[in-house]
Amino acid sequence: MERWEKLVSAYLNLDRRIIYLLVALAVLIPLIWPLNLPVKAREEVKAIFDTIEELPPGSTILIANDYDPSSEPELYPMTVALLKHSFLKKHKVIIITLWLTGPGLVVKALEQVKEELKPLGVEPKEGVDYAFLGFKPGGFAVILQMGGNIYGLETDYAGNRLEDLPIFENVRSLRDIDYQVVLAAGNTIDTWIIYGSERYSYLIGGGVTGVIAPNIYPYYKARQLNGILGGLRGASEYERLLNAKYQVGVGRASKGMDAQTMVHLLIVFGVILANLAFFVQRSIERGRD
Amino acid sequence: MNLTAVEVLGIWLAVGFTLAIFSFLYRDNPIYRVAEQVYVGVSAGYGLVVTIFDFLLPLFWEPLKNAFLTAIGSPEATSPGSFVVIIPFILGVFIVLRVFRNLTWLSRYSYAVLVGTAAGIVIPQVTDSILIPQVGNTINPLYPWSLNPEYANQGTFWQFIYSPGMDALVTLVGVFSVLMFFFFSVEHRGVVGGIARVGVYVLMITFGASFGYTVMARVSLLIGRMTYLLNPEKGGMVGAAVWQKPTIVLLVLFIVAMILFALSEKKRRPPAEAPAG
Repeated sequence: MERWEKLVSAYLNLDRRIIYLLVALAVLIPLIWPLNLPVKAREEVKAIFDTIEELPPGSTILIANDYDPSSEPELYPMTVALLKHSFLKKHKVIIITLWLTGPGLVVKALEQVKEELKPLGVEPKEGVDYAFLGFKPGGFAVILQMGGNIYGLETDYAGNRLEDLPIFENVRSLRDIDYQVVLAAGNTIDTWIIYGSERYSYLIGGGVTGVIAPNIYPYYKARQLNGILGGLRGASEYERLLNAKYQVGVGRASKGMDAQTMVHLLIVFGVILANLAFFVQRSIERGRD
Repeated sequence: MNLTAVEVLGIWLAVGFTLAIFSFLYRDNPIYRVAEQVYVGVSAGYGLVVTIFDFLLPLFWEPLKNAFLTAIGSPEATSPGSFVVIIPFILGVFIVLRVFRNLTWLSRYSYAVLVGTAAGIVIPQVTDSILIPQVGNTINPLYPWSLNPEYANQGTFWQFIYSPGMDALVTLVGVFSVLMFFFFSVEHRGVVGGIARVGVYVLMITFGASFGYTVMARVSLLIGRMTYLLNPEKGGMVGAAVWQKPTIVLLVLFIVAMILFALSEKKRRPPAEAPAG
């Protein structure tokens, strides 16, 4: 009995650094030796994939890249996958960010996608096949401006006037957008729905961090969002759908999902053990009384 | 892969700062504190630079300059520009003047414009775009109860579980019980108490789902950094020169530094007093 008591007490008073070490190992081991565990795409992810897939070539897709480097692991793979998919389908892509620290990530994603698509013979041209508007300050005021007259934003990230770019020839306001995906680490997804899609009546989907994913499901249920990419898993599901269709390989979201699963298993296992230890300790104390 | 010296330096710094922040997991230390303060400083500096070059110059200075050049008939004007930008600029300056106690009152005009404009735009738009559609989606008919045809290949049970009627029923029970939990005009006893208790369970399930997603998000961030540390640049860790293996080199250095820090702290600590008696 005393041995049990010691064991339980040791577990319940485990040094937090041992837990950190276990979590680090649970992440590192699958990253070094991948397990390739299956990840099934959910309806809300398929909805975004299918929308981009079914739009006729040449459709205009607006991607709002509203996140900063602190959300990069979850949202950057979504940006890359969505850009790849759109360029493969020959869609026109307009990218904007309402976050101050967002532009660097868009530039990086565009460079990566162009480099990865080159061997497939897909070479999107700036100003013709895509345009990056850069960071536009003002939150909902920017969206209202885009809804009224997109040229009011004046220049793209490189300083070119929007009316001089061929991609904006037939895109003068948000009403001319065929589909938008908002990749958000904050509440700009609400802003885009309220002042964008609802006001100017166009289709919108959302890719968000895991932290805010549960908050946007009501929009999906109310059909105010046609699909959701939730966190790393959502990104991984999209990457796998894209790879299944176009054999472009999976990105880093899919590579991270094994580690994600291992950490979840570790946490669940730890919670069960802690509960068992708690009940064992209580029964020992009661027996002593 | 050919990298410039600046890129190599960037990689080493990124790896070094990541390891420095992680070192806090062991214990607080000077390396962590330096990294933390550099991070805050760089973020603020970056924000300031972007604000000046992406905000102030293109949205205030350029339109004002062009308006002035147009007014004097200068051919250097690249657009008609606008003098109207002076108004928001002055309102912005009023807010900054809050630092002087005797001029604080000026900021009230700025806030009045901000709040008034925002309320005028936000209230009708949010009512129209969020409140009404969300309330409308909460009120769904329970009858007639049809099975969900999308789950036809998984059997009647799953067609029943995923049916619109079940969705409406769960929403009804959830919303009503949670509202009852927050309805304090009636004492939570008897039937009302029972319904409020169901509301508590609904809230707990909601918080649990949110917490689960939050854990996933935080683990994703860790995975992101670990992926970077394992491969700071393409092909960096396998068969590369020492300068291409910042993770290993810096990890060893950090461990040595932590040991030295612990030893120096031990030396500085006053010796424990001998037990009395």
